[in-house]
Amino acid sequence: MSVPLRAEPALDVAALVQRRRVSRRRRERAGRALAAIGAGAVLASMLAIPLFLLVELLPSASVPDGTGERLGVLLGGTLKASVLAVLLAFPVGLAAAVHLVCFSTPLQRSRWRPVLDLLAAIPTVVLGLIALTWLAPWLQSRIATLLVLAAVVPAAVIASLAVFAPLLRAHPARRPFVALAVGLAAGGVVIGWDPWAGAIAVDSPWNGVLVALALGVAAVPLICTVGADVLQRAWDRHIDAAVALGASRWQALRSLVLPAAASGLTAAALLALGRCAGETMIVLMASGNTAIASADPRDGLRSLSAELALSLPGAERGGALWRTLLIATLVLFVLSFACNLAAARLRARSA
Amino acid sequence: MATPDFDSTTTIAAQLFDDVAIALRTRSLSLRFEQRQILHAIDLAVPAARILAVIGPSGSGKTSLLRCLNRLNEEVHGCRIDGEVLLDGTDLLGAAVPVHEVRRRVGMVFPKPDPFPLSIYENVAYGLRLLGLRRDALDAPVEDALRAVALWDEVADRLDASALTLTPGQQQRLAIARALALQPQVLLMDEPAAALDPQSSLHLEDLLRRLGRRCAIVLATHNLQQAARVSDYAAFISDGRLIEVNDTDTLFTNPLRRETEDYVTGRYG
Amino acid sequence: MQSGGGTAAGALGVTRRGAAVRRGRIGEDLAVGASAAGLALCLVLAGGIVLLLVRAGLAPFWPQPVIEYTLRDGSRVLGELVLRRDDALIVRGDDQLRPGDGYVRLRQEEILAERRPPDAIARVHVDGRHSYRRGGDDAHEPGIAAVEPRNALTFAGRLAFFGERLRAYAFGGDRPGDHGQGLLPALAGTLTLVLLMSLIVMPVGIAAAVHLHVYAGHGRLGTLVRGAVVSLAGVPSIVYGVLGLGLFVHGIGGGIDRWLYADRLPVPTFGTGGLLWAALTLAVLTLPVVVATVEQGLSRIPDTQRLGSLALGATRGETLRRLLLPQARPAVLSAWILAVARAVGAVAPLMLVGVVKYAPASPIDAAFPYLHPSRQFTHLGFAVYDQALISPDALVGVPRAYSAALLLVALVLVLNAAAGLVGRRLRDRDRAFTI
Repeated sequence: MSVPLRAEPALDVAALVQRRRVSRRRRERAGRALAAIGAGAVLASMLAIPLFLLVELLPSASVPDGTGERLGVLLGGTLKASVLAVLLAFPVGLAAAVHLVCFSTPLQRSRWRPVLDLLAAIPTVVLGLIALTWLAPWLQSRIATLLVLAAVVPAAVIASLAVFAPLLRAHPARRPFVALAVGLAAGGVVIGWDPWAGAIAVDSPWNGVLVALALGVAAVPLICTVGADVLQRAWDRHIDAAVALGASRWQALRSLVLPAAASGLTAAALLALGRCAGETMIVLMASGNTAIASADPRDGLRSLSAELALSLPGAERGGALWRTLLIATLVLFVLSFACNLAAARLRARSA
Repeated sequence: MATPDFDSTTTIAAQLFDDVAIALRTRSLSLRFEQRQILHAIDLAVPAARILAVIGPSGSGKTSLLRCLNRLNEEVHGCRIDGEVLLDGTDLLGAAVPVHEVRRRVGMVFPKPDPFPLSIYENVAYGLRLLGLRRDALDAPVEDALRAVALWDEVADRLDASALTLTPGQQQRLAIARALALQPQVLLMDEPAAALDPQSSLHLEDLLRRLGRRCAIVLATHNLQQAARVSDYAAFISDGRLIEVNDTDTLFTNPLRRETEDYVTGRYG
Repeated sequence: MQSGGGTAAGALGVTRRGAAVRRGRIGEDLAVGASAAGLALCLVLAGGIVLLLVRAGLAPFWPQPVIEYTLRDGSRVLGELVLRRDDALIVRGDDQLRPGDGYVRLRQEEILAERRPPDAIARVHVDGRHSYRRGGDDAHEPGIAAVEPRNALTFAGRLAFFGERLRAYAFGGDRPGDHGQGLLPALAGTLTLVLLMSLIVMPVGIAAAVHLHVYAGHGRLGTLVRGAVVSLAGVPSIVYGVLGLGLFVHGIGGGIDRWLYADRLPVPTFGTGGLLWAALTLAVLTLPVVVATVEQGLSRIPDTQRLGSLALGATRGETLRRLLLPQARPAVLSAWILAVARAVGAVAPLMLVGVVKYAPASPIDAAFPYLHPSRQFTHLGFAVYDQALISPDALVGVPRAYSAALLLVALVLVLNAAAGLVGRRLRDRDRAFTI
């Protein structure tokens, strides 16, 4: 293989470079400037919210009368709805995450992902609609039924899966479907027979329980996704050692994986809490927007976000109501920011 | 002949480069990354139209040295470079030459070929397109470059095929062609045979020997046999310090420093 | 039987084999069962919601038969069944003065018999009232806009009826007098809004992602910007609405009014909610998503390519334009889809910055300059809320709300599926890289 060498290259690259030097430099500067503008816009957006609030509020340090009480009620309502929702959603989300990570194969996991994505994709205004029109009338007289459902259905599912365990060992992918069938059957029996109708009295169909249920549905996919991520990491780290020592998957889960994932799971709960606190449409449609401060889930509530949506359009700029509502916005912003920050810190620690 | 104490100065054989032009010269080149000093005051001369091998144990700073010569280390956040790198009397580290022009004049080939996800033709033409050349004007330089790396006969009929379809040996030759197309004055080769099987590796050495007359080549390698086979001169680096520079045969058979002797005889590294 | 060795094994509860195995079995069954139940519940929720939406959203368009109820007291009621409540039926009879005032509540015990006379028809009046008759050819009676011989329809006929009503509702041209608009204005408003938002957010987001990846990603500015992106993602959408209202509408809009449209004051032009401010607000809302997704896409490209390009004498901008951005195209597309999906579902901020029930004039029309960003608009998600809560006739509003909800969910699902496809293409392409 001979390599012919040209004594004189036909192309003078050095001269070409020299000629283009200025235009390349100019273009590089322009590109750099555009990119910096974009980055600046992102920074500006982040600062815009707190800055705007501070600029509007600070100049006159006056706090309109009654703001404290009003905000107290609203904050209480927000927390009531969010905490209840997370209490409901966390076990479900965690259970789903545990099953996906610890008791399924990657193939099954990829098959179940669309279900969770579907649930996560449903706009909250639609969840609010369903809560308002379909669930509310039914729930009004059936809170007791709900409690019975929550106790009976899981028990039935667990019992049936235990009984069928030897048969299912060969087909682990069918477990959730057996659970589905048994759960639906048990649920159908409870709802159909329903001797507890009206057992727990509720004043209005739009109450804390309704909101918590609807918010919970919105929160479940978030908890499941984040929880599965956290559990997967802890699982990968510990499972080989555990199996080598002869432990079953459950034992590994209980003693090694769950404790290791604990802070990450708390982070998931905090994220869900922050998300529920900021949620507007569901609360607006399903809570009855009753501005009372009551810890009883059977009573209605009014949240910070719903108040903003309802009252801001009519508030005169710069007036007392305006100031109060901006303070409420600040409170909401700080609350959700704190939840997200805490969650991020916890996740960083568990990673 | 070997000095007993640790000597941090560089030992350069007398009259080593007397009859050869110098393409690139460094003066007190130092590299600092975060809190660690990677290179200490390197004074290295790279002869034109010759192959200079840079050898040393892993972690001694071979790659870092090369990346200083084409200012690629500036892409790493936290790197600080001091000293001078002189090409034709101009300090490449100064403001006189824009950094992208430095890299055109001092080309680099990496250990892993990693061609761009473009056609073979476009890979070689990449640098030239930056200078505004269009397809008709590109045909000749692309062919020249591919011939120079002995790849033309193998790919002339499929220039528009993806470069990813080439074998690793071919991909590495493509990488060299890519750099050669820009007519660099110095070509830096960082462990070019690292990702190749022994057969391709030997073919590459053949190519290097031929290319060594075309432009100055700096070859960083941990493969001592390869360095001995291919290079005209050799520089031994240890712990970021340039220990000895000599012509290859002498450095391997009769090193001037004990550290060099230890390394080339395999006592450490 | 030897006990399990070592403290680690002890920590795992593997102490005495027999008891441990039994306990482990029970625990395992519990865990498996409970977790499977959780997963199954997710499926029930997702599937149930979709089924409910489909049924409630499409049912109103299916022609209801006209039923004749004979009551105990001998009277008869002719109309269509609207709702079945615990022990009563809600039937729509003849409207008296206005559409929707003819609903009657019949208790189950009152009803003696019900039948579907084949000659029973429903009549739609020009002013939107409904009435129901037995037989007779009323098509030529003054004031009747349409006659529907529902009980005489075959299945194919019903299907055609269904399709026609669906089409009419979706694309406007609702039946005469039926209050409320079709879905077309809401859909058009939503799409226009999303389009305008995309024009704002995509260039800015890509520029920011590019800056992070290529120019200053590791410095203090880069860390700050990344932190901003992460924090922004968690802010509630309503807070963005407040920003939009306060800063954009009142602040900037008010300023523009004082400066350019002072003669029209106190009637606001830009100083009130409208398409532009809504698009801007949504752009700020979706900015973190775009930046994060595009940057992720750029990071998937092996850094060796970037270094290789730089080593050939390319500037950072040239490397970006010729090598990196072309490869990041799927990520850019993915970012856009995710941003649109997020924007379509965000109703709360829009309630503060410009969405209305009836837009007095469409923001897009045939008059120059064709797009009127200062006008108000209506939106699909808002239609769901509005029809459910504010509609004067709840029995008509709620089904409409479900129809809008069904369309909205379908739109969101299509978007998410598209994003999933793009994501899969990305993964396949990444796999092809490592030959």
